[in-house]
Amino acid sequence: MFFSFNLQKLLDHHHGKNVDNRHSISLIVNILKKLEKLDSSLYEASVLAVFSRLVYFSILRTSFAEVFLDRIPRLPSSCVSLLIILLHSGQKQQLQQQSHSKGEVSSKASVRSDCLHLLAQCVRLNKDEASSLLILNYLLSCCLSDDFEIRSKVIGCVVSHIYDASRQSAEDEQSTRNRFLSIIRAFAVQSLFFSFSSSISSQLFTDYIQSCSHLEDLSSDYSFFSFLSESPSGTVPTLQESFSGFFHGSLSDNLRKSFHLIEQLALVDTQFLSSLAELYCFCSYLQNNLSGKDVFFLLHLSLFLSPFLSPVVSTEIAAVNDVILGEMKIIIPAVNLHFNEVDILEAVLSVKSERLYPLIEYVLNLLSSDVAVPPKPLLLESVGNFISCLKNQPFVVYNLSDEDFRVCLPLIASFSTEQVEILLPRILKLCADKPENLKLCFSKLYKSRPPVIAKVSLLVLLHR
Amino acid sequence: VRKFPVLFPFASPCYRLNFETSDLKAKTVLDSIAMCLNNKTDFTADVVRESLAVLQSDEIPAIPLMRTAILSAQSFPELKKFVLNETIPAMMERRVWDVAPKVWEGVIFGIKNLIPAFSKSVELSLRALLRVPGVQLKAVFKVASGVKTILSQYYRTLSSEEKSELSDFEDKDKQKLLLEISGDS
Repeated sequence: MFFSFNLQKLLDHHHGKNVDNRHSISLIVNILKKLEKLDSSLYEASVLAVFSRLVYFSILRTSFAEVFLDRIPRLPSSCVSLLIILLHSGQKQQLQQQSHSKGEVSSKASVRSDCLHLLAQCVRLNKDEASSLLILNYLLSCCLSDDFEIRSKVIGCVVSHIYDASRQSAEDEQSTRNRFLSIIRAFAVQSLFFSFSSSISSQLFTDYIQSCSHLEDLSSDYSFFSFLSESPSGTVPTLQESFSGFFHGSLSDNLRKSFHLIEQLALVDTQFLSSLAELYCFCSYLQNNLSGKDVFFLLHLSLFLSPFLSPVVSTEIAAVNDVILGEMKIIIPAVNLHFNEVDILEAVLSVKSERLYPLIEYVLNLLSSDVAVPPKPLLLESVGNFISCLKNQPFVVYNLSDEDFRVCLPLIASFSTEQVEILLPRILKLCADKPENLKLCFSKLYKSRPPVIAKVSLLVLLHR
Repeated sequence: VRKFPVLFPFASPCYRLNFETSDLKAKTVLDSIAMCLNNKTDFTADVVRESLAVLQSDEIPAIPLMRTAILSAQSFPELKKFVLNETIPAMMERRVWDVAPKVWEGVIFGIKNLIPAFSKSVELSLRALLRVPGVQLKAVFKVASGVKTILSQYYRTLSSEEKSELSDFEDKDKQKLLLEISGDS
């Protein structure tokens, strides 16, 4: 009753009544501090009481929770349990907006969001790091939930209230926050890895790593294979078992589920695009280097090693890259709202492999989808550096191989008129089997402002 | 790569490209031109007309020129007059049968497809046709037999001075053909 009375004062303050709320907050916190020393169970019950009011009155949560969590001595586990129970309570169809004479009573719809928000605040503000990590782990496991609603809400909360908030936190808090960032990154890329690897023989991963020169920096937080570097032989560690419970559907379904978190993280941190790029490279490797029979054979072997593995056929592996391209179609425009094109491209290009070419071409087409706007010159420079690094020779557009030049085609509007006129036969040749690509290429040339080449000149040039 | 002079202030300088050395198939080039012509939103009648004007002024006309002219005349009715009164006479005046025989074949097909009957709009083409040498005129009649009647209709409207202007006494084939045309009439 005492806490309710003081919390009511906070509510009154929010409604514009002339009440001194600083006194109420201090009073509650001071009493809790004393209680914590005198009687642990009473302290826990009291904090739980305050928490229940925070959940009930969403306005209290937004204005008071942060100060409260920052100042209480410790967060009782019962509070976390309460929030987790409430998080999973309520049915979507039963949700109804309620109003209260004093307003701001949480509806069932917002109870989930409020609990999630509170849990995120608990992670960031809790003084007990171990307890914070436990909550974070729980939230991360919800990021792979089969329930789309829970998954979406938790992912949104983890990304904006923990990941992004931690990245922007003050320097003196960096050490703890960096741990959260590392954990979230590791979880995201590992879930991506295991959503895929649950169907693939571990030997394939080892072979791939040994065959790739670009996988030097396996320890990168964003690396799809980051955790493999920690295992001595480069084989998939037993962590696979902890993820196996989340991935019991088809390969595409598993991937879509794990993409969900990566997608949302990419909206605040473009480096996550490199994880998708790495997966794309690996799938291209599987497609190019193994026949369908080989893949199936290796998978068949893996079935004996791990009973929960489900076999995939080569067509499914081929479909993975289509899924990645499909996801990119959604992610890239969304990421482009927050980041410039060069940052996005640089993230994708961080994986140095020719196997990435189709993905680069696809991403560049997405980034230059507005044909009226000429691409930034830095985009072509980035692609040039990428090709130059791969080929170990300077980037000269006339000397490029067909494969290299095809990657540059989406940026054709960055070329000079003279270059386009000289390169036109090559453009025609490369697009001979894809008229829609040629049409897009032409429209970029004459619709760009200013046009690289006028329509009349283009038509004349085609004749000559 | 040979640089050509700028013919239109808005057009960028054009280069003659050596498509043969670039390992490019003729079909690929023709398909790309057709793709442009099918895109009527961007490649309007005005754009195509200006392109034809540039192309027909070339010293050696481009091989796909007449194909483009015929296709565009079929797509844009307003371009038919331009092709009949400008492009085809220009090709005959340039004696393309000597410099670009393939283009001449295109001209013959153009005459066959675009001159269905005698009218004022085809007069310039018919006048130019009466000036071509007998061998070439014979080739036209061989492919486009219907043109012979149309040409004779037109020939009949000419004055005796104009008719004598068209006669080339050294070209026996042409004399014979003109006689046939007059006889028909």
